[in-house]
Amino acid sequence: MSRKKNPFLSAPEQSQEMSLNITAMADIFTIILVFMLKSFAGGGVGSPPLSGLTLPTSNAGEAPVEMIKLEIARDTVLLEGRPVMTLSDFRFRAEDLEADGTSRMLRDAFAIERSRAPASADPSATSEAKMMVYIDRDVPYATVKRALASAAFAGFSKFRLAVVKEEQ
Amino acid sequence: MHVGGEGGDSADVELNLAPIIDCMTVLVAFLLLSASYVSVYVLDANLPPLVVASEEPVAPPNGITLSAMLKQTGELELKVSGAETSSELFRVDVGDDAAAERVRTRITEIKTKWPETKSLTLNGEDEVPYHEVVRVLEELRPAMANISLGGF
Repeated sequence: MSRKKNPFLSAPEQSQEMSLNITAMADIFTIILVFMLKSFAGGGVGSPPLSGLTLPTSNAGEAPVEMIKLEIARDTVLLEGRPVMTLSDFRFRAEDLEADGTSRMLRDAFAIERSRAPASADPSATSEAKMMVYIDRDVPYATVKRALASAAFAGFSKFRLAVVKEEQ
Repeated sequence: MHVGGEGGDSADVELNLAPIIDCMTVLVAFLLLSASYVSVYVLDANLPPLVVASEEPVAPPNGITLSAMLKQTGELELKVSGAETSSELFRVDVGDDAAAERVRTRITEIKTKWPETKSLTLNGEDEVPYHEVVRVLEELRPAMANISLGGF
């Protein structure tokens, strides 16, 4: 007598476990990780500029290095990521300016940053403090002059203007 | 992987990929979030020595001082002062490479005539947008490596 398959009996339960082959996933993650590390290491500047700040474009330029950072946006001026003073539509308020056109608040902030900079072994180098400057492309030159003049009072005379590579 | 020892006792060691995947996932997520997708470069721009704040730089003896004033109208006034005095106006519109080349040529002529001229002071009127100053600075750089921002 042949044993027929009884349709009313459910088939024996098969194992629900599925083995997930994660070898391929590990390969992909390794490749992505190496790629991200490579691009991260070659990026240069550690902290990106303030969001909402549009840099001017340029074809020339060198890779930036870490140094004291000044950012001038529409409504604020930041020094080393900390807001120092507010602007009114890219411009200094009249009450924030001294008779010589510089800003007292900015000058004091620059002086504090200058004093924090490590002392150079060469005394003649004290007047050549450098600063990285991120300025929005629409800032009027009057504001730029006042900000940089305020920095000059604290001994900063060399500036590196941040630009974005122009798309060709 | 098979680890064997004396006496024939051996144990299969399996590589547990789960923590490796966890670490990689966290690292990739962190790098994606912290990556900057904007290529930032720098242009060098110095200030003239701040001895006395003056509108016009002091001309060296028997030499000249070269300065450029970018006007709101888009014109660039190239001024020579000192032993020789002259003022010329150039249009430096966006994309006008011929005009930029004329300015560079003129600067080169001045440098040839006055070899001790090593720097140019670039100034701008108050309402000139910053990106215009950067553009002109970049266009003049091939003719004069040392360009200072002026007007202080």
